[in-house]
Amino acid sequence: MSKKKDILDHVTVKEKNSPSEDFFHTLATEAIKRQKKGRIIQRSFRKSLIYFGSAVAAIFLFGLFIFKDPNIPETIVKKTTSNLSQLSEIEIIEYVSCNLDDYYTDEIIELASVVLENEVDLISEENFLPPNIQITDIEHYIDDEEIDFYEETDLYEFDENELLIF
Amino acid sequence: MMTTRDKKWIELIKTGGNAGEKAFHELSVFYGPRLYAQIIKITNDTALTKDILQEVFIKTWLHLPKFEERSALYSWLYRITHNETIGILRKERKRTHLSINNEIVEILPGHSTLEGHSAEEILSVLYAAIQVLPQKQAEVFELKYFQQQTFKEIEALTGTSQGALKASYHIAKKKITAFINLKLNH
Repeated sequence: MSKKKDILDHVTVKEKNSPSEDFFHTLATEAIKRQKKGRIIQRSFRKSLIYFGSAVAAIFLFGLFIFKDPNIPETIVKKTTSNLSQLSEIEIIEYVSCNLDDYYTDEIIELASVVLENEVDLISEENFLPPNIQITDIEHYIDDEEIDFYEETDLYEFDENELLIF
Repeated sequence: MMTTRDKKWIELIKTGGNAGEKAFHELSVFYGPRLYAQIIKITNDTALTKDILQEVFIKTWLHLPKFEERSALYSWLYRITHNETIGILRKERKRTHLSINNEIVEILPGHSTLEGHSAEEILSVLYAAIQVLPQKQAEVFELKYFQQQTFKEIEALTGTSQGALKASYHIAKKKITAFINLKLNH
C-alpha cells in the first residue's frame, strides 16, 4: 500500500549554487572595515555635536539679553498693581471724568453694560424692595394716585389678529 | 545549546584584535552559505542578497560582543538574517516590485490543492506559513526542507538533539500543510 503524499512532497526544492569562500571573506572584511570607520565617524560626530551645542547655548543666552524689553521691568509691573488697589473709588471717578476725552465711548458703554448685567443678577425678589417699604404701601399709593396700568401701557388698544400668533 | 566551536569563536571575537577578526572570518565562511541560502530564496536577486548579507555581517560583528549566549549562535544569526531580510525587502518593495524566487521550487502534479495555482502563489503561501511558526521550528524547517541538511548536521549546527529536531520538524510540517490547505482551498 502506497503512502499518501502530503502537499510538501509535491513542492520540491532545487539546489541553488552558493558563492565561493572568497565571497564571504570579502563580506567579513568589509563588515570589520565599516565598523571601524563608524567608530571614527562617531567620535568626530560627538566632538562636533559638543561644539554645535555650545554655539546654540551661547546664541540663546545672547538672545535673552538682546530681546528682553528694558522698558517694562518686572518690579514696576508689580508696583503698579499694588498702587492701584490703594486708590479710593472717588479718586478713580474724578480721574476718569477729568480725562473722559481720552476714552472711547464704545468701550465705556461696553464696560457699563457688563456692570449692569452683573448688578441685575444680584437683584432677587426678596431684596427687590427696600426693607422699609411694604407692598401694601405701594397698593395704597397706586389707589391714591389713580394710576391705571392698562391705560398707561395702551393695553386696551390691540388688534385681535395679533393674538393669533400664539 | 552552544557548540564548542561557536563558543571559541565568540570568545575570540569578544577579546578583539587580530585573533577576533580571524575568528569572525571563519564564522562568516561557515555560516555564510546557510544565511545566503536563507536570503536568496526570498529575494530572488543575487545583488540584493549580497547587500542583505553584508548588513547581517555588520550587525553580527557589531553585536556579537554583547551576545548573551542564551541560544545557539545559529539561532541568533538566523533571527538577525530574518529580520534584516524582511526589513530591507519592505523598503525595496516600496521602490521596485520584487517577485518571489519561484525558480527554486518545482511543483509536481497530482495534488488537488495545488492544482490551478502558480508556483509563485504556492511559494508565497509557504513563506507566509513559515512566518507564523515559532523560531525553533522555522529554523529546523529552513535547514531540513530548503537546505536539505541531515538531522545530524543540524544537530552539529544548533546543538539541539536529533530527537528534538525531528519532533520540531514534524510539527512544523504539519502546521505548514494545514496552513497551505486552508489558504489555497479558499
